[in-house]
Amino acid sequence: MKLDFKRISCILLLICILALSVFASDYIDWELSDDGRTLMADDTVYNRYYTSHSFYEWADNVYEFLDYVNHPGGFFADVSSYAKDNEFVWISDDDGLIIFVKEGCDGVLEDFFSGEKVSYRMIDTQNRETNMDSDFVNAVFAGTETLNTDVTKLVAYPCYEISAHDEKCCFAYDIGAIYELPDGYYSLDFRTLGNEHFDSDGFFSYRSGSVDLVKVDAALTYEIEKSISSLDYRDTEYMWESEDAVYIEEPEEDDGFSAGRFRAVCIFFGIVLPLAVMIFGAVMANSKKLGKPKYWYSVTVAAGIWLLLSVVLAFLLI
Amino acid sequence: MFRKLFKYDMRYIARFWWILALTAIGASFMGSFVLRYLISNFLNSDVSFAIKFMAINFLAVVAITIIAAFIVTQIFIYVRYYKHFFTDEGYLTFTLPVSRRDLLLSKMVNAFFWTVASYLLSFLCVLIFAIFSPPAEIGGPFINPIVFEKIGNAIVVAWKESGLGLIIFAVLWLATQTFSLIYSISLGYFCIALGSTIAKKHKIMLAIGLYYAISIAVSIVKNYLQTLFVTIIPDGLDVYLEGASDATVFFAEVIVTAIPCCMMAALAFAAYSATRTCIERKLNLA
Repeated sequence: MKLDFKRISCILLLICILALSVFASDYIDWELSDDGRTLMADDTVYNRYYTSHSFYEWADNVYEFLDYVNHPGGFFADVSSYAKDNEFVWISDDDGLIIFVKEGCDGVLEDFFSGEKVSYRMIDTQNRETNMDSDFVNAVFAGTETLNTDVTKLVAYPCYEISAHDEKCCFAYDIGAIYELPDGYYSLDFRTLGNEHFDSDGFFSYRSGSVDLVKVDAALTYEIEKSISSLDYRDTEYMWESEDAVYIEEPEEDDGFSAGRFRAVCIFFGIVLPLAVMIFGAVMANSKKLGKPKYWYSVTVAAGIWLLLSVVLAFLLI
Repeated sequence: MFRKLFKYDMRYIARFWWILALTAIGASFMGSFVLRYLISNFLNSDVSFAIKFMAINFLAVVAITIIAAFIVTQIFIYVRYYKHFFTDEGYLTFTLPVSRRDLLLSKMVNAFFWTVASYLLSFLCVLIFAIFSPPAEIGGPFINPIVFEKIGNAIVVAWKESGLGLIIFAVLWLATQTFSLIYSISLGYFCIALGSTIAKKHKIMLAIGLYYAISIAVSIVKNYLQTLFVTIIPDGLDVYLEGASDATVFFAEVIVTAIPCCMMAALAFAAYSATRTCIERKLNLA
């Protein structure tokens, strides 16, 4: 009896130790200061990055940290970055996206917002995108022939926005757009427009006013159409904080529908298996050594209904 | 005689079950108010971490109490079966002027009744949480019906989409669950009977081992079948029934839902028959 007690105690102790090990994880603990200016990641300090530039999240890779930030606004916010070892992270609240950057590591963001080190992409209204090189972007805006247009009419034409992206491919802002008008492609450089053309979030507004569109050189038509045809949906790769950074959104392998496999499954589970169960039930019912036949016959009847239903289903599918 | 057997089997569990039920219901009431407090004050920095921590621990204890009510009922069902059939008491049981069929059926109905009662008890506990946990809205009544509104909306949407089909699918689901429960109880009884027949010592250990071995083997097949029923078969129906009338599609869906019900019925009858065979032919109390 004593031995049993010892064994049980050891098992309970082991369970307790194992349970404790669950909590002994090394996930980063995030803490946002009450004034919202400093974000602590264990011992690492991130300072809020202020910019007057409007921008939005357009990330190729998102590394989601496990623990949330307890936001002073009374909610929990996810902390995201492009990698676990990073120069900056971001959270979002009612004011939009907020970036926090490690001290002395704001170079990537400075280069991005100043437009010095950016890559360009064309994005259509369905959020499909394709890369554009800077020479191509400059050439699109470099035309001389202009067309003054009411923006409320412009909204009806196919539009391909040109956006600038940072070195780490996390954020973007729109620098202009290409419009497909009946007589060709026209571009509009947002950087040359006044504040009245943008809404409160900094996005180009089609509410009122007029703009000067620039006619894109006909020699660039082929390049533009090539870009349009190569537009594709963005495939953001999400990672979840853990020791091995396990992917949480792996692209699903679409192996397609196989008629042969479907038929094989139907035949096996719809005909072969119920037949086998029917025979098993009948054999058991007639075996004098194995109890009363009544319930074994019930097995046969249930399998019979199963078989019948499968046959009806087969007729429906033919 | 079956009635008398059933009455005594029922009494055996009812003697303590009401205590379990009252404990679980009481714990649910207290837990729901603690949860309500926690939801209202989780982000309130004036409430100390220690109080929040204690509240969370209390909720964990409540959850364990509710689960324990279910598990303890199951344990008593099987203990009653084992003691009544396979211990010294078994000699007395099998000398009664009652057929073994009635003896087993009484245990079976008793187990079914108390298992369903345990499920209903768990449901009642969840219902108490749903009624009392959501904090009241400003100026609103004490009981916030948000959970019921969401459930009601979901039922309305399901009714709009499926109509009468919803009832048919619900009946088929209920039938499948009933057969599944009969199978589960029968399997437990069968393993105890087999363990007691094969082994002279450590009968319970062998019964538990057998139960896990058979359950794992069956669950592997069941999981595979479930995978088929949510992947290949719906894909196949989509392809083959493209352009078919709504009635044909509905009929096919009913059949696809009814087939697992038949499978479960066959499994339940087989497990029950095997138990009866064991009790009637193989029982060795020597």
